[in-house]
Amino acid sequence: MSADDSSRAGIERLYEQHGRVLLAYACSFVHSVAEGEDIVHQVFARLLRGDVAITGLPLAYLCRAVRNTALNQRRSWQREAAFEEEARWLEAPAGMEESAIAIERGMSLLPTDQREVVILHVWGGLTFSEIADALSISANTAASRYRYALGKLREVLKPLGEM
Amino acid sequence: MDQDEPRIETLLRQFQPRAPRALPLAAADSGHVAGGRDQRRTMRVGGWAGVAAAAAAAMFAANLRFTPMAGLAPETAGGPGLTLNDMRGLVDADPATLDRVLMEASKHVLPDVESPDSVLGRLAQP
Repeated sequence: MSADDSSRAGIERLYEQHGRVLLAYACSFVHSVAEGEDIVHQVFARLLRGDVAITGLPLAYLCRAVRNTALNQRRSWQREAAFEEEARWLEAPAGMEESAIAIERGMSLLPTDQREVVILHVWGGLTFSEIADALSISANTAASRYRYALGKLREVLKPLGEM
Repeated sequence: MDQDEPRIETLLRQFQPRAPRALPLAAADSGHVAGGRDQRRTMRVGGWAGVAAAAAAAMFAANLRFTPMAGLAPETAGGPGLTLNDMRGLVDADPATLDRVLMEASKHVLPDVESPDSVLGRLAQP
């Protein structure tokens, strides 16, 4: 973590930069976008208060923090995690709303470990090696989860004529 | 590598995750993070506190209404030896006695409307 990232402005900049992908990632573990936002806010509030400090690649660290917070939160909420189809976490370009819903539905059908790799690679821009570091898995595992996930998404998107 | 993978990736990247709501910086500074869930809980608690305060105010006002007027001691409200609490008890237990006590007490605490010299008596004249 650079000295700049540890400042208040630096943390706010990280929020601006990675807030979207972190929200999508948080939504992998909870029922709604509102709950996902709560989790992301908790992670950044701890950083702003100086309770914790980022180590290594910021996005990888933030993903781990979101994951841990979400899993802890989920235990305290005592609810089963389910990626809600109703959770509108994607913004669609004009005229592509139906496809966005189909993607959200397809993502909701993926196992959590595949879904998180897709989010981090496609929208987070992390390489498989960086994902492996963030999730404590091997790069090969990350890559194979990704390919399985894309295969399933393709099946979901086929009826729309997107594939 | 599946030849469809780049197409699927391209399709997915046409969409972007929605942005989260603004970071509650003031809450973070104060050491308390009020996320949407916590904020809703706080609002609910505040709402119930308001209801409790309103109920307490209503009870206080009702109590004032039953408080005897200044200068009228509780002992004298229902005549000698009978307090307001005694009278409340008589409402259910012995209405006839209560009626008799009130009639007796009214001679001392209410204006005499039948006396032609009283203010109310004069006002009542056509």
